[in-house]
Amino acid sequence: MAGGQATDEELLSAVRDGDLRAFDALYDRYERRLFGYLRRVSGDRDVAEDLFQDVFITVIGDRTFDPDKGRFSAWLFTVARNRCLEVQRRAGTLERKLLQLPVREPTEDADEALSRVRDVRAAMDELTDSQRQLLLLKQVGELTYRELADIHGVAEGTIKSRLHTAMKAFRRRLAEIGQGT
Amino acid sequence: MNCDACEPQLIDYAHGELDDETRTDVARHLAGCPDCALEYCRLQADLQGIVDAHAEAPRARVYHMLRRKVAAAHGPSWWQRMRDVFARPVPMYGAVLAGLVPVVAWVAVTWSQPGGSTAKDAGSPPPVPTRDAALRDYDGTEVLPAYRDVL
Repeated sequence: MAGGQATDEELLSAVRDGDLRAFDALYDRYERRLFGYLRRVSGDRDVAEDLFQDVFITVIGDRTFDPDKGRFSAWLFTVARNRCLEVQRRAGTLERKLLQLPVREPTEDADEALSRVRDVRAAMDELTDSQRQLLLLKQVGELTYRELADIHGVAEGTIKSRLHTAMKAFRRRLAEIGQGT
Repeated sequence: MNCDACEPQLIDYAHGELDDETRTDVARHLAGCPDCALEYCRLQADLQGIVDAHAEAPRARVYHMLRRKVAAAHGPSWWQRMRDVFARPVPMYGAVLAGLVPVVAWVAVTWSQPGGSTAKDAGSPPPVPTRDAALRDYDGTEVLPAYRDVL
């Protein structure tokens, strides 16, 4: 079961039946994407790691997920988003403050790739929280417009419009940062 | 499709969210328009940049902790593991090897005791002449017993 050909839903079913190799495969698929999203949203590595475990345990244990109604990845990131919102509410801090990932200052010998990563993060920081969330869920979570619309409780056209606006703002800011460096 | 119509579609095109007809139109335009093709490449690079900038793995201990939790909550119980062991099909070469074990043991015991068990046991039947003894007592001039005069 733990092969690369199995779908996420098949792997999830196998994990629930006690197949730990299926868990390994599922973990490999979502490790970087899910943690990257949580890290970015929470802004703290330790918090993100706790959330990461919490989300994984939740999606594996919660048997209300119906593969016929949606993809596993959409469900996974929906749970992740909801967990982040809970943490933010519990912390009672301003969402903006919690969402803000500290931007590291570039070092003198930073290579081009690191510089690019820094620029992208800086450009993302310039977006509003909802725009940043939307781009992250779309790009990192790889959700479809339909899935994003379901998560946010709005029409698909609204999501499309918001995503276009966010993308244009991001690219404009990224270009400005690129010209400034 | 011209450039003005193509440009707003590029994001949806990159996300694979266009209907078949529009996607074909955009693809056809990109194939013939270097400016839009370049813009599309830049867009894809920016989109990939978001992914690259945010893909990050948790520390290794997270994996081990999570795996332990999953094993405790959903892992097979001891009786399931035992059942799996017995339910596992025995391969044919395994059966053949198992059958060869007594044969190998018998050969090993036989070779390790030259002369057989009679050498150690005085009360046992007389030993069978070895090949050397049979050759030593052989007389080529002797008439074979079948041709001896019985009377």
